[in-house]
Amino acid sequence: MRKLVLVGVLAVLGGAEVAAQTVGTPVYMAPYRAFTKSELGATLSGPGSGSWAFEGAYRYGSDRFDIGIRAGILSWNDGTAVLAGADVRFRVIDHTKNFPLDGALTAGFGGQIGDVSIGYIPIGLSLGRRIELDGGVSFVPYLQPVLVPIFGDASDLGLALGLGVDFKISKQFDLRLTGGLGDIEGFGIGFAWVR
Amino acid sequence: MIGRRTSPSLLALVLAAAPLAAQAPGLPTHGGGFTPGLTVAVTAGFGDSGSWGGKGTGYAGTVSWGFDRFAIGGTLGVLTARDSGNPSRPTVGVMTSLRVLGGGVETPLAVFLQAGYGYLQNGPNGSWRVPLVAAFALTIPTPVVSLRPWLAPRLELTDGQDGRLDGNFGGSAGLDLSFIGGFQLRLLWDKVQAADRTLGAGAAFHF
Repeated sequence: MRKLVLVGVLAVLGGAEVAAQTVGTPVYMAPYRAFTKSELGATLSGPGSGSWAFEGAYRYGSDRFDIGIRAGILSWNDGTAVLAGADVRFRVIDHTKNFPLDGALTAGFGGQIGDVSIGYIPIGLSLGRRIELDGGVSFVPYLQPVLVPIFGDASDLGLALGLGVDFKISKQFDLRLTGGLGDIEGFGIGFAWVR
Repeated sequence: MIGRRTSPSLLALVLAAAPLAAQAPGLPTHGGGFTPGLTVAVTAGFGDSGSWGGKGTGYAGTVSWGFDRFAIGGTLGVLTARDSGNPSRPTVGVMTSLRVLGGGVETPLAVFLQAGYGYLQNGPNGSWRVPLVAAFALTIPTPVVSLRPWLAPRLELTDGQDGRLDGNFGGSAGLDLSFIGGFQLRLLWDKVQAADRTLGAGAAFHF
């Protein structure tokens, strides 16, 4: 997406570099939700050279489904944009003897609003598995291929592969490392307060 | 891919698996898995001006053979340029696929690792590509047709200028429609970061 957005921005403004998944940032999702009822989190990401994004998110879930809203700010060499979006995650695959991964379908709708306004509709599949360690610590390595229709000042169909690890540090805190290849590339680090 | 079975629902699952196809330059890379046994497929690819084979239309036939977890296929086709006046060029490719996870009745999602080689005759010199693919395919059986959406990100290695090896992120996505009797229709979309998009459509028959 960075490249797609870059193309769009270059075409419209003549020289910026920005990026995103639900809102154009390389923030991907594990197949699990970490919370029982809800979580509040924040992520700092670097979608491309000379750009950064900071976004907050709130998620609420029930049974195999959870929904999140996120908002933030994206800054690049020549400007800034407001980020806003919502996404859902639906657990569809449980690991078995023959298939060791858990999986969730994900979908979102969001974008960036500013001098250049671009919308994203990422649709993906997250696959991973929670690994338990001693002391109550666990982590979830995962990958998430995503197909991303893009519209607005730049339009295209993007494809990206998200990679990440969610660390459960305590009962209430998660540390999350995330990154992407393809049209939503870059890296990010975040945390979440879960309850 | 998931063995030979006899019940209608399981048959539908089996038929939902797709043949290896279209790893040749100018055609979308198929990531929908494979079927045990012999499969013959034809594919048409429509590349835009930035696509790997240039703006043009490619036509190819593929023959593949699948075992339980492994398959190999070969493709032979021709790529016709629409914008440069170049003559039609032959394109060939081979693809291997390994089912590494899933694909059974309990788990409709299957994960494949694929590697191949494609060659496009381009003037006096040819050019090649090596796609390294991780493919994710979900089988949704219905009474009439089995649906198999798939998504296949990949690393695409190509011969760059001055003998340099270029690597670009790419990927393809598609939908396979499998009917009772062995007939299958496919829709494909393909994109490589440095080479833009190719759309494709195809048909296959599993013997």
